[in-house]
Amino acid sequence: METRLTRFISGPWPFIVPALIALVVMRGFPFIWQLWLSMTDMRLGAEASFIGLRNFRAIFTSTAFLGSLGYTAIFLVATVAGQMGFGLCLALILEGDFRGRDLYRMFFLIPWVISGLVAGILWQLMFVETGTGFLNALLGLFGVSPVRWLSNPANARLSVIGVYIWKGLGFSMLLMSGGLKTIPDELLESADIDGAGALRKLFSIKLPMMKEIVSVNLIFALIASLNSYETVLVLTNGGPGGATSLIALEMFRVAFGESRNQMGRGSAIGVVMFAVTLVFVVIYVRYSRFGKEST
Amino acid sequence: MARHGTPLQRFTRLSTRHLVAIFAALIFVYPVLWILMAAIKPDVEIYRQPLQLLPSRADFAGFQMILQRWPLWTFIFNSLVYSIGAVVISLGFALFAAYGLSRNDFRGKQTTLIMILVVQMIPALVTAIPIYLLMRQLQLYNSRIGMVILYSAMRIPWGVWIMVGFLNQIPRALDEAATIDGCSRLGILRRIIFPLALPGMASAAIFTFVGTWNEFAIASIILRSTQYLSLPVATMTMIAADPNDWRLVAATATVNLVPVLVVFALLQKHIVAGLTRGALKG
Repeated sequence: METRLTRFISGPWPFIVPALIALVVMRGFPFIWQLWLSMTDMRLGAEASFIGLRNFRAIFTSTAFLGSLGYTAIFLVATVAGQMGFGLCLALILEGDFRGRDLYRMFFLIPWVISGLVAGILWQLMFVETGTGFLNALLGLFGVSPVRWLSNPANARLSVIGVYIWKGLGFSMLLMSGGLKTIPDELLESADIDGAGALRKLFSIKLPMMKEIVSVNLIFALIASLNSYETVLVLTNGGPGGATSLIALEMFRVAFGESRNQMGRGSAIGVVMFAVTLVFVVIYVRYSRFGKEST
Repeated sequence: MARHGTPLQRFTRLSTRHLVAIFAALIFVYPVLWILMAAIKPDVEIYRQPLQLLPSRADFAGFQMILQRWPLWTFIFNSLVYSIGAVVISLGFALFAAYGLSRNDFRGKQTTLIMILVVQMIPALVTAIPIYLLMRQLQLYNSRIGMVILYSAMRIPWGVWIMVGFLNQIPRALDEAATIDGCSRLGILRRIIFPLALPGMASAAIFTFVGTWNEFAIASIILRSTQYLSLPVATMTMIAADPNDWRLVAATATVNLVPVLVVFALLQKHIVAGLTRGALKG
């Protein structure tokens, strides 16, 4: 006689449950708890009480948060477009077989494997604003006077975006390379015979055939950019005057910044980030074949 | 691409390609090279000749300074414990789960896989605050074991997805044959699946290692005491203490960079395979 228990034990679940428990406790539960926290005035070392949506009202009327939301939007569009555009260019350069290709690919990937923290440190040194900073010294050779890369708000916004494009480009390049490889040679050859130019081939054959991989790239790049934190932390810490304050920085500042300890309000920002990320994830799961593939 | 045209046309096309590639490679590699070199430059040269890449002589004063002021070896040891711990534990859990998911068809399988995918795609960063509070509640805040547990849990979803991909390629007929020979499921996992999945696990391990070695945001809120700091968190602390000493900054960055660059240079193919699998095949 098979009881429920023996059936459970002889089924697949005993293998899966340990991982699921770890995930539910350490990853799943925080999602739910954060929803609750965002509706309390939680601070460390004090009783938390329920305050409804007041945290959300507070953040959506705070200039610091709205400012960070604004820059995050610009940042998202600029970094994702930059990474994907340049990533495609690099993938096209590396297309086909030629000597040195693997070496180039390795070089292009270096910014992507190093940590975001170190990337921030590197570029902070590159951006040193006196004449002895690397970039300013380089420009000095051409007679350009020193640029205030990070202390001028408008420049800082661009510099931060530039560094994130540099950092994330390799990932797009890899995906795009993978996409280019899936295009059958015969298709490109027949286009050659018809006399199609390189650009024509790119827009009429390659890109349409890579539609799926381009959308995967788009979703992953959006999620990564939305959750950018450490590189900008090192580069500007959100400054000057909040010009480069990304939403994740704002969340950390509110919750963990010097004696702020506003866990409830920080959680509200976390919920906003979570919600936006979830939208991207749901789009990905619904419109990709990946959810269905492994059946 | 360049399969036709006169030899001259082909030559120009190829050299243009190399020129562009070299220029791009410089932009990607130069800052990294610059900081590695700055770490061993004599003091004066860092400030006076920023455009000069190679040091006139190797000077390790920056590293000596760090070693004098900070327990650098402890930081490195901690980071190794966190990364290797996360690799071993997360892949262990992931292998079991992937075995269950890949070898059986059952109700709820698809839902489980999708839930794991969703969790994988949402960065832990968005729940930094509840994770911080949870770690305090569980008495795991500011502890080595806590960091290992947290990192392991964070890496499980990706591990499951990549392992399911690998295990699906191992024919089920092998399992059936072993069952007939009287092998238990744990025996099958150990004697058949594990050896065959080893190459896949290796690339997952490398990828997980680099990811945890580089992780900063979560560690920065969980670790407080100097003796538990991971290298990236310690780096932030060390730099904050002497922000204007570029040589020290460069030396600290170098300590972070070298292991990653070595692992990457040696095992590039595995990392790339791991990434494309993780992102594409799931």
